[in-house]
Amino acid sequence: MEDDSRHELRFRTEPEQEVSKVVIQGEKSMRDDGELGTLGPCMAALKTKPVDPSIQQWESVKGEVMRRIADSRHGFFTTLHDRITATDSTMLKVFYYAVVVMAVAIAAAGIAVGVFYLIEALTAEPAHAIEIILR
Amino acid sequence: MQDWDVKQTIDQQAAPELSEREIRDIVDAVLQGDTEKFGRLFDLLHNRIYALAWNLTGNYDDAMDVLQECFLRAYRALSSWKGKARFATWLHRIAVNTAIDYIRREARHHEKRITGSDDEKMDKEIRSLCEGVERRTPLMEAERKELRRRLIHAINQLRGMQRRCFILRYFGNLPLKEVALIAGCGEGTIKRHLFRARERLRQLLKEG
Repeated sequence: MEDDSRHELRFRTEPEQEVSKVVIQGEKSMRDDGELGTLGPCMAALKTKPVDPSIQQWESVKGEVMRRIADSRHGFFTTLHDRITATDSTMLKVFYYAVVVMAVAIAAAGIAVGVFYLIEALTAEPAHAIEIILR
Repeated sequence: MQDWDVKQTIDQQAAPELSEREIRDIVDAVLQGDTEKFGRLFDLLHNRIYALAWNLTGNYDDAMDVLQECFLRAYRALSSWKGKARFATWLHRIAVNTAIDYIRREARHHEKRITGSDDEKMDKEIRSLCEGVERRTPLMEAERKELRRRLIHAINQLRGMQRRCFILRYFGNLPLKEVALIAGCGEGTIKRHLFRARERLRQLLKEG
């Protein structure tokens, strides 16, 4: 048994008990590829028998996906986020992020110009401040 | 040691294969507003995405959440599929990114728990975990859950491509060739990423 195949886990099992120590260890992976080596037992311990959904359950999940699709709105940022998710191209990701940064910069500049204009107008004619704001 | 292969257990429900041309037609129809046709893409590929999601999450609810999120993202990004890669390859790319988001969420949750050291909450969680689990001892379940948390926390610390390749290869059970197609690089590069990922994970698990 190799030392690498030992993975100690410490956690409390009951409030009144001391910290419990469990050592998960196993022989070298029995997977066909044998690639995982000493990580094999660790991964094998995680792989449980899957819940095999019935046709009804699949239909229900499919129905939920289709319902959410029907209800979904294509916001600018949602679409952009999903496009970023769908690509592994660094250039495209940089492009998408640049679009987001530009959109934020344009919005910030617009707000800054508005505030600047307001301050200018208010300081020029303080007597008519309310009228200027309401205009 | 058993290595459950979800694909084998649910293959009897698999939908008939469609050619890339047929898939292109469906995608075009969906893009033109016939959203119902997206259901056919779901029928075609849900098993493979579920396999990855199940191996990663280890529970039905989370696996279904990952699956649903993946198909929703695919729908919203559908116009960006130009047909350069096979549709299944493209969908796997989305699945692995959805899985990475899940891992980040879980790792954050794990960190909060560690830093919070809320023992009472942890005891409660372990007890609730043990309730209603058939033919498994509570300790085994808690053990497995803790191991999953630690592994997910460690995977979260891998570099981008290492993490992506590791998920596709060992949670998605995909052959190297397919991982290479999805990741968009050669098999040799994938092998290097996987090697480094395994080394780093071993190191992280030892340190953890």
